[in-house]
Amino acid sequence: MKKTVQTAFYVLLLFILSRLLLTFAACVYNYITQGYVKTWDLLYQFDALWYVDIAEHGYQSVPNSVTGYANYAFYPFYPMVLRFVKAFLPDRFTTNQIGILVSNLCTLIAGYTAVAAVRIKYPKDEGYLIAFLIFFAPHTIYFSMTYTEAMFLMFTAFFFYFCCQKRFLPAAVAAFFAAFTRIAGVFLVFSLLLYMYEADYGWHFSLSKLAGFVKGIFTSPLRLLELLLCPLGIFGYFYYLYRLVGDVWASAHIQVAWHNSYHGVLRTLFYNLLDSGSGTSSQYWALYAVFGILLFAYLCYKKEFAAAIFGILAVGISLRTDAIATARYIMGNFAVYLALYMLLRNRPLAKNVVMNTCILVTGLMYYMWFAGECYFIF
Amino acid sequence: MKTVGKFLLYIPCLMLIAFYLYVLILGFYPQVSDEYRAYYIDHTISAWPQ
Repeated sequence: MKKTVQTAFYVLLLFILSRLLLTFAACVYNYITQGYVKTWDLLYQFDALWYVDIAEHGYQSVPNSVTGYANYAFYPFYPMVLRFVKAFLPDRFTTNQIGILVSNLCTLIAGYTAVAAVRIKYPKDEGYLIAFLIFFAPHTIYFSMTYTEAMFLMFTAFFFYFCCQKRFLPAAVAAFFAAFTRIAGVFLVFSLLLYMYEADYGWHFSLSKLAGFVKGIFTSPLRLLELLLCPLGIFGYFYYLYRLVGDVWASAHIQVAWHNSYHGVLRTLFYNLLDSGSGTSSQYWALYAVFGILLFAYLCYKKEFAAAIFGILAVGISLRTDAIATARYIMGNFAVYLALYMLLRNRPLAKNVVMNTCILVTGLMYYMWFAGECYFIF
Repeated sequence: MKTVGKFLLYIPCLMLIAFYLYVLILGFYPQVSDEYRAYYIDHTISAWPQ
């Protein structure tokens, strides 16, 4: 009990320090521009506007008549929570403020859960580094605003925490909510399969063991239910879209209004690295994607196949069309934090360098976001 | 009793499988306007008709 309270206190302390950095960056921005814009208004840009609109008005029955844009690409659980919380708070709280509140709370819980998860893996570790990375790493600004990243990270952290304990039913429930929050969450079903296999046979593969594992799924209805539960949220949303728009795949089809697709991960990387890609930041995004892929390869090397497969598939689905915002998807993925933690935990010098760099770069990114130079970090 | 409980668990499993199959089948038959189909699904026009 004492250890739990102590852990919660240290995680909370790290969280408060990270939000002080954000507030400090907002103060610097207001000082330089000689203006006074509140921090929550500075954070209210791009996709945050879409989520607030969905929370307040629901989904569009037809796409915008001028742009062809529609809000189906934004998954429903996060705006549902905003709407629910808003019903209990006084009217003076705007939906954006509630979004910021919810996201920050999710980040804090994700940080605590991540520490608990790595302590299961490495019982001798304190594990605070993973919470530090979640609060301070570059591109984690999205965990502070009305974006789904924080909630998604929280559910995936829950998923890995329960899988580390071999408690697959709560893990499946976490995967269900993750997939209801972002499409990438549906890939947790593959991680769940791998965790189940590891629990039964370790990482020893043979045809007879694979056959026994598959047979075990169908002869154990609880295990089958756990696997089937994961994609329920996303299929529920697909059915809702069919009732609303007449198109089950509207959330994917609607993407054409935003940008063209490269139709493949390698093509996306090739054109963004060597050509102009989708804009001035395309090489940065492509390099970030390579960084993410290397981290997932490292997870494979460490035999963390379940986390690696989730990372590869979740990032791969975004890279199939374009590299835009890849950095956000990578840093919103719990597998990345797991990989970084494993990479740094026994390397004190590298850990110090990374931690100091994180603070400097993240402070700069906060400022850039406030200054409207979001294209680089979008 | 344990066996009965085990078999009862197959019921939600079957319901979920049936629901997923139903949604997947619906995916093959979109009920959308000609403009929507041309722009978002078939990509036969390059801009949303205003």
